[in-house]
Amino acid sequence: MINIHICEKATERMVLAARQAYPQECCGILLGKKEDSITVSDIRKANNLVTGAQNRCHFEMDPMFLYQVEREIERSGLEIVGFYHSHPDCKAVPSEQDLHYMIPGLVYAILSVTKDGVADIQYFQK
Amino acid sequence: MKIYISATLRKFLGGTPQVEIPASCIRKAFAILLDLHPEAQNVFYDDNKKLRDFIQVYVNGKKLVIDTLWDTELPADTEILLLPAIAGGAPVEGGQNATVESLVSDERRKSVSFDDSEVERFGKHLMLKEIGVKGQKRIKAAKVVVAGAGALGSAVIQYLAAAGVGTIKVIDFNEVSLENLQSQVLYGTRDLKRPKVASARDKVKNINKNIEFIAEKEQLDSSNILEQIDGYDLVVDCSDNYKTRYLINDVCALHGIPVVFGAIYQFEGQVGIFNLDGGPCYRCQYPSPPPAGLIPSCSEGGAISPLPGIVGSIQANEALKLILGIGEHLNGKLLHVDSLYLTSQILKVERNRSCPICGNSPTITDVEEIDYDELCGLKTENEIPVEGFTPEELAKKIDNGDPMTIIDVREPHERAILRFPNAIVIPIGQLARRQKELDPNKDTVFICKQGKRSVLAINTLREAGYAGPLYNLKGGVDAMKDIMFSHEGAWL
Repeated sequence: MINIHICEKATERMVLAARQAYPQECCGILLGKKEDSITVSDIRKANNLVTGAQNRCHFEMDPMFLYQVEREIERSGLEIVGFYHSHPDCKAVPSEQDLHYMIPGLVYAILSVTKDGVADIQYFQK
Repeated sequence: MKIYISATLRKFLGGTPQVEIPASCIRKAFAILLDLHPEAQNVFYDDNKKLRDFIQVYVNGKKLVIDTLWDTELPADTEILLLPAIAGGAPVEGGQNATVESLVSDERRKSVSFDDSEVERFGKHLMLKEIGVKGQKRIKAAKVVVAGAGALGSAVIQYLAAAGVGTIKVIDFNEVSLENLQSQVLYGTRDLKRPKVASARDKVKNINKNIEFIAEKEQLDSSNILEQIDGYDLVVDCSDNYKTRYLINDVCALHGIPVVFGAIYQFEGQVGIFNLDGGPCYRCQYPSPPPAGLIPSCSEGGAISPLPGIVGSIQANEALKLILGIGEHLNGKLLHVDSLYLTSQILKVERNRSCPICGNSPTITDVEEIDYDELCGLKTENEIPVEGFTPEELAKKIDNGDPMTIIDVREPHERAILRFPNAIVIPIGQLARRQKELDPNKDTVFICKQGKRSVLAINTLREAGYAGPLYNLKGGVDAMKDIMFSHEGAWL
């Protein structure tokens, strides 16, 4: 079990991003604090680099964007605690590819989104 | 070099954002870093000691293409960024191979009928519950392209015809030659000098005259390939060169036609299926061909006679399974067979998310945009062109007694077939080191079997800084065979 607390603002922003991107996948960074438990207090939206029809079922983030965000938050007291992405018209469970790219210790939020909105958010850790 | 470690990876490497490592290349820097933090070994490398996909290395702000810069010597002020790849995707229901669907639709199957002779002919298929009447009708309705009617094609064409595939197109621009008869069992002595596709047609019609056989005596290139394969269910790749292999892969990936790939080299063979149901393509496994001339083709490297029969039979078997929608097949896998030691392995082939043709952001959308000669290193436009002698020119120089050094870069067993007198033997790998054995004041002529590896040798030597005049024997020793010298028998 991951002991995790998500601030309302972070959830709202993720949900909005997933709805706006539908039917494409959205992705981004979870910012917060990692002590005994993990707190997610904000998110940072990232571009999905995948183009064409493939971006309905795949996402990829530019590592250089992550690097920029890392440098920006260096002295803010926040840290990168994980990442989020959406599964349009799919369950909020990690795919084989998701598992393949998971970095141990980080939190991965997956949002199941349909045309009616976000149906489910689940958090995973490897 | 300075290494910046992403916050997401820092905890595995001691927690510091930046480290200075006294190493000359990235491979050594990683080794030092992981020696300091052995617990990170499993995070960075998988069980096969391959760098995990989620580790991305940027050199001075540019993404590292692993195999190219990994061992390159880099200046001490190089900045390395160690970042994670953040990627993923929605789950595919069931995953690969969960349901094997036939390539031939039910409507097409239903439009096919049998006569009595076919019931008798295909009796052994009809007996199998996995095939039966429905399956045999699918086979008859199927339309398959066999690209290449050489050694692999010989097995594939005959088995597909015997199995009852209704429409077979064979593409090959060659004529049968004597050296083909060692492994291309589709042909006999009577077929010598005939177009392969014409002989193949006779053989297929002799097996079953009802098969619609389309013979295309044509060399595939990016302008004609699409019309050749359009409307077919499947392409069986029996080509013997990288150019055609990439061309077939690319056009099939772009147009959603699965490929049953096969290749042989000496005693070893490979079979795989590409471009099926969102599975990987050939480029996912092999993003670019090896440098021209480095890996000899089958015609240069040789192959044991039954090997293409083994590999081609497996290709035909995979093709039939795809047509029927039965069993488990080699989608996303590569079968490797070693006929010398009788071992085989099935390797997993992953879809490469940065594949230029089937990846997340494909950069190739039309094969006509690609220069396949350039891709396969068959062009030397941007390099200093290699000067060469034709066999006749070289013979004349030898006859005149012109001073020159001849370097033979062939393998020992190749030299045993045909010795080139007065040549110094230097393997390509030793050239840079042994360049002082050459006299820069004299012409140096490089020879190999077909004049391709010798070009590679000349470029290697130039890169190593050798300044003397270098020449290539055009067409290699093969082209030299028919040359007569004035003092007969003295040379070859």
